[in-house]
Amino acid sequence: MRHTYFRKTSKGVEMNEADAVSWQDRWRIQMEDMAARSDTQYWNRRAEDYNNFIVSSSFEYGERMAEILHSNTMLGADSNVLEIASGVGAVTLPLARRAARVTAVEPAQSMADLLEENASAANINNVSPEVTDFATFAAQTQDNAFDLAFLCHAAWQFPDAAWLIEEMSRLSSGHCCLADTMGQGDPENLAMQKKLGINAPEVDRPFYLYNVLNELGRPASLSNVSYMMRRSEDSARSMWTNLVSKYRTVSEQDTEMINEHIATRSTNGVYEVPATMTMMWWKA
Amino acid sequence: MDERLSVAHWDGLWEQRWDTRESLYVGSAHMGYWQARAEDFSVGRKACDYDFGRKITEVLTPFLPAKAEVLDVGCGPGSILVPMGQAGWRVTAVEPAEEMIRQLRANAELAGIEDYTVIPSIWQDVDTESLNGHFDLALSAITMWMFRDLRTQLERLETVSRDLCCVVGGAGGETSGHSDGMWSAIMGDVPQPGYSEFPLAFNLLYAMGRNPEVRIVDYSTKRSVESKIHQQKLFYAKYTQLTPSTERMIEDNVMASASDDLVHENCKASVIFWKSPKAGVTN
Repeated sequence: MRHTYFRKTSKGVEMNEADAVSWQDRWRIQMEDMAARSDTQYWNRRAEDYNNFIVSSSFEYGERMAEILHSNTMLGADSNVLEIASGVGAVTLPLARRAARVTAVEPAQSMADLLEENASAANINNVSPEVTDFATFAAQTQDNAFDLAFLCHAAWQFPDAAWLIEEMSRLSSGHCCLADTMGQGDPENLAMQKKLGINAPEVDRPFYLYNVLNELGRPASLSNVSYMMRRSEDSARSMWTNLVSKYRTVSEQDTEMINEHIATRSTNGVYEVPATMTMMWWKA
Repeated sequence: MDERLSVAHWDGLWEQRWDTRESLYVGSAHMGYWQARAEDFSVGRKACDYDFGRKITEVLTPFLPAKAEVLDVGCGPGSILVPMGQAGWRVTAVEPAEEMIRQLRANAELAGIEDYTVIPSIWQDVDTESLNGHFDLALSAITMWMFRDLRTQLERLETVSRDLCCVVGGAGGETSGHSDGMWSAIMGDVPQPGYSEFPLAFNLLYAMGRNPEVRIVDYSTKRSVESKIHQQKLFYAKYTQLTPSTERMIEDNVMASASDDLVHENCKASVIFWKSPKAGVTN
């Protein structure tokens, strides 16, 4: 279903040109390049620094999101949860503490290994990692196999957002939830990207996903979770260096700029960035 | 800058949709329409124990104090005033249609609610400066679609609230509540105008830099066949001169959807709420 707005003209009623391109098509155009640059090898390289961010931030946003899912009766002690692109367990572990079981689909082996380590360290034994991509997993999984299908901070890996949303809806008999970082990024971060000459999409992902959901006839509830992203300076260095390497070989000048940027945003060796995660959920 | 994050983009779309709809009216579509709709609207809202208003009250309860002061813009027959009054909140209701106010007073009395105020006026004429920061919640449920200048009216809600603002709209698509195929059967190729506040109001608020939250709620309505036919005829009379054959078409359609002489409808509403920029600021 596509929303169109009409206007009367001398030729009759015409669709507003501004809305001739659907939200889904706009999402696809913006995300195809980004998804292609962030393949499984990239995330294998990023696993360690990403883990440092999640552990240093004490799983803060994951805890708060799991709490919201729980208080809105989408997650309970009997819940069988599917998490897509679980990474090192930022939300997986908080979900697992409140659910019967979490199936964690993660294509990057290094990420899945760290997830198992983190679960073990937290004495959590109801997480089942599936090291595969979501399309392969979905093709082998029956309808309504889960009570909740959840994906956080990885929708940009799916240029076909409608396919992702419909597959999540197919696999869950209860609710589905997408989460992503709100806004076009923090201004300092964007300024740094521009300084490095990186032309990454600045699209406000939750805003687009929210409208894609509505376009698909799945109006969703929405809630915002603000948190502080914390990581060591080494982890921040790795993040920025890997980001540049998605676009070109990292030069000495790049390294200098990265070090300078990290120094200005760090206190006592910890790099801190405020962020807000937007959650969008709907009945499957 | 992404044009979809610009206030002007959503303002423009909203105004354009409003103009298109207004240009299609041939019958009574404003005050006279609501005077005539008061009774059937009251029946529909009271049905299922004010399910619509009760669901909205449930959503907002965790965010408000126990004895919240609420402004309800376009309160109609008490759809929200009654459940909010029963929750212990004190409601000031803005409503211009005398017949609606009569229904509201009867419904409030029946529900045992005495402590409320009615401002018998259109919202645009209410002096918001005299109510500056007066309410914990300034709410408008399925009313904003009537105003061409949405942004101005959202900002007026923010003026009178010291904490939360809320806009409720349908969530069943642009033609929420009137998407049963009757439009094309009666109106032919004329495109059906949109009026749902959702998602346009959300998108505009987002572009305005607010961080609105949304809850989608399911609610039920139940009304007699006679009441539903009355409502449908008034709705289509806004857009066309009803003929005996179109009236018959409406009657047949309503009767086909009824069981035990009642029409049950399951609907979706979007509850969009956000902090007034005044929140946390001492007046």
